[in-house]
Amino acid sequence: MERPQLVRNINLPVFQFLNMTEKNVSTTEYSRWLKKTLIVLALAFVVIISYIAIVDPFFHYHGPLSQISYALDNERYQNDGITRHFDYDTIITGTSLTENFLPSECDELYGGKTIKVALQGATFKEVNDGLVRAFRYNPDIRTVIRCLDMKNFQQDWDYISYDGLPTYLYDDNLLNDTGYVLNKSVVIATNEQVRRTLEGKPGDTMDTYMFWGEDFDYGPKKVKSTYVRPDQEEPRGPITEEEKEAILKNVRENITSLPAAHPETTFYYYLSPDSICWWDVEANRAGKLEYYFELQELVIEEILKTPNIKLFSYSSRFDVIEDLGHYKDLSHYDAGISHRILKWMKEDRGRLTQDNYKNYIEEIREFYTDYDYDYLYT
Amino acid sequence: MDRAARLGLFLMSIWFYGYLNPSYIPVILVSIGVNFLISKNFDSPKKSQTETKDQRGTSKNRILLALGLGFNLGLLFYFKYYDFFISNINTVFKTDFNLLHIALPLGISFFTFQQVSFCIDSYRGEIGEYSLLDYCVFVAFFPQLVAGPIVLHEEILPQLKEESNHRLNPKNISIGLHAFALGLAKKVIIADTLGVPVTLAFGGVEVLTSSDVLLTTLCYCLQLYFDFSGYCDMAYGIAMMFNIEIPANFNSPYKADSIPEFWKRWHITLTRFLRKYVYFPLGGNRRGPIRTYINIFIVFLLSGIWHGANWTFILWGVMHGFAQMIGRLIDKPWKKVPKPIRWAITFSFVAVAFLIFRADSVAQAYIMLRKVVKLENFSVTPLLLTGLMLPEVKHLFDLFGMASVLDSLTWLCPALFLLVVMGITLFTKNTREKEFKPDMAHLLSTVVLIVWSVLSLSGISTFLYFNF
Repeated sequence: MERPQLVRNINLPVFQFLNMTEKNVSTTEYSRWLKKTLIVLALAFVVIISYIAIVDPFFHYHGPLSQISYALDNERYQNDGITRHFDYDTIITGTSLTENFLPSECDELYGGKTIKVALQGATFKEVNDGLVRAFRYNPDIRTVIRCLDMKNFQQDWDYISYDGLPTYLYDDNLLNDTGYVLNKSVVIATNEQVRRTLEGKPGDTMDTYMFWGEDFDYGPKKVKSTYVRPDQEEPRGPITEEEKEAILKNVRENITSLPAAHPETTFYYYLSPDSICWWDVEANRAGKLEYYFELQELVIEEILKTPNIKLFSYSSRFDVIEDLGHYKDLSHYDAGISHRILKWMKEDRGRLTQDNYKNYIEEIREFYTDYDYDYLYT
Repeated sequence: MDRAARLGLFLMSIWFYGYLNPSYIPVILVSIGVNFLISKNFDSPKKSQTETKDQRGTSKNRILLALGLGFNLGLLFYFKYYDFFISNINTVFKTDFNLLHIALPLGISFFTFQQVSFCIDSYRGEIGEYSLLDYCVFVAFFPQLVAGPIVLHEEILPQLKEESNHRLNPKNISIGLHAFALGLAKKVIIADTLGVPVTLAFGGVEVLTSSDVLLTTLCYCLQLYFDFSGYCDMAYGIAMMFNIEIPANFNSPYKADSIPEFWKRWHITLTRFLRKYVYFPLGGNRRGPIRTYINIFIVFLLSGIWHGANWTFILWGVMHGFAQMIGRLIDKPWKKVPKPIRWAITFSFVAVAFLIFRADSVAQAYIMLRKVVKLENFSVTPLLLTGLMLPEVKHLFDLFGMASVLDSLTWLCPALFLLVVMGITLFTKNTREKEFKPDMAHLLSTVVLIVWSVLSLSGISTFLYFNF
């Protein structure tokens, strides 16, 4: 085939590079080069894609292979795969406040097979989205254990705190899996899993997955080093109708709708036991003590309407709240408290019901209103 | 068959254009339609009464030209400059006119200028017979649609019509594929990596040290270079696969040792456009030295405005206008200065001007430049260096048990990266200059660069939980 002659105006300065010397290379050689290049390129992609799909560090295509020591260290990338392919009937989920739960302990107490899919810094919407997907992958979930962080009730119901979530892992669309199988960070993660295996290191377990219980110091000094006590604000007024609607929308969309759709599953929900310093900073000094009592009453009332939710609160376990030896900052409690919460919920301790929740509200109102917060700083 | 091929190419180009935001497809279609109608209605010079250069236009032609220019510049003004204009009016006159807040249609500055050139050339009677379809493909040809080069009709239309170009050509596809691989790597691996510290630094200029600002400026100069050069290579490569050679837009600009030289090498087709359609019609250098300098200044001011609706771009244009004038004035003594000094002064000027070009506002650029002048803190913020660390390089060190080297010498990889990248801008040939041979070395480099770049398109986001 004759090579087309390109129309060039070499007099234009912009074409100064186009006076390339024509080498005597035949069209067939270019054809051959092109074919070889495309074949090698295709092969390179096939090898990389197969490597990632076979090891599958984020469990998007299959569960863990027994020959590989998997590192569990990336919640937003691995949780979806865990809920897709692991064998389980019990889920522990929530924010970093749930990362210290030991699924093995949960298995013993609740008699099931537990996975832990916590999401650091997640909003109610993000946690609920993960649970909705889990129920789609596994309709046999018997028990859900979830922490409800107090501060999250005030967020917009559709708020997600992070951009750039790997949504290509969260669906069944094969086309967008390019984000997974053609991703250098995933290649690196896969290499790490393989290296770990070759070095003979054991894989992570559900108990060790993002467990941070032993990584930090605890105690009054540590807690107080994480914040500056704010000035005293004027007390804010009661929750407005508009705020009430927004809070209830958040609860209905992200907390009660899933249990309502799965009446056969038991949902253990607990309100986060924030430290006494949290109550000082976020409620007392912010002029929001009454606001939080009102907020708790509102959400408790709403959540209790769904019969398969067992709701707990440990804000009235003043022995825990006041003992800063269990906290590393305003809200993060240690693994010992996680252990006790798991036990208490199984024993129905701290459970809120239609009959007792008004008393509970009165109890915390009295305690946190009368508390001598200044004493904490003496 | 040829018609179907051209129609196919046009429709694919429009699909490409609308891929990210389909709502601007009507804008480009209307722009193409109106320009074609106007261009078709010019009386050819033979028909016109007079054929002398100054009186070439009949009054009909002059009205049509005014319409064409008015339409194109009006479209550009509406989408690109309206909000900037109104917000300045609001500031100066303390008024409260509403802003439009519309997103700029992709590539509007490029396809508008390309059509302005076609319109003026039609008025001058320099355009042959082209069908609507030819014109559509010429304007919308996807490799150059969104970021140039600003091509002239005589460069592209004859190639589009050439029948022998309508067949697959393995040589051109090979050259194109290799150029595309080089361009993709420049953009994805180099420019995007350099962009990490740049984005971080411009996101919080108050906390930067003097060294941070210098590092950021260097990174931005190189980011812009590789972004633009990479785009040009990819455009050239894809067009080549279609047997179309588009003009060079970029010729190792950082090798320049004077500002006039820099402008012969940077964004060549924009400078050419402004020279042909603004500088020459204003009289070029034929009306005495003062008019010449004024004309040069106008061209660079327009170049600044064209780059974006912000005072930073205008200031950048003004700076280059002055530098161009001074460069012309001191041409002879300048050549006596040793070359390394000429180069260093030129590059420093270009870098400072680009810092202003990149800044969100003139005030932000001022804060940064003041930090450099004060020379108060020479430490480099580690986070900026971390951004220059390619994860694959770190991984390789790790695999070979040398992670500790990187931990103790955090500057090592970023410094090497910057050195290599700067070296590429100063000591290597342009993609078009390199001789392409269908051999194993070109095969491997093409494959490695494409695979590496594709793998670099997505990464794993780090979710930093600051409260934890």
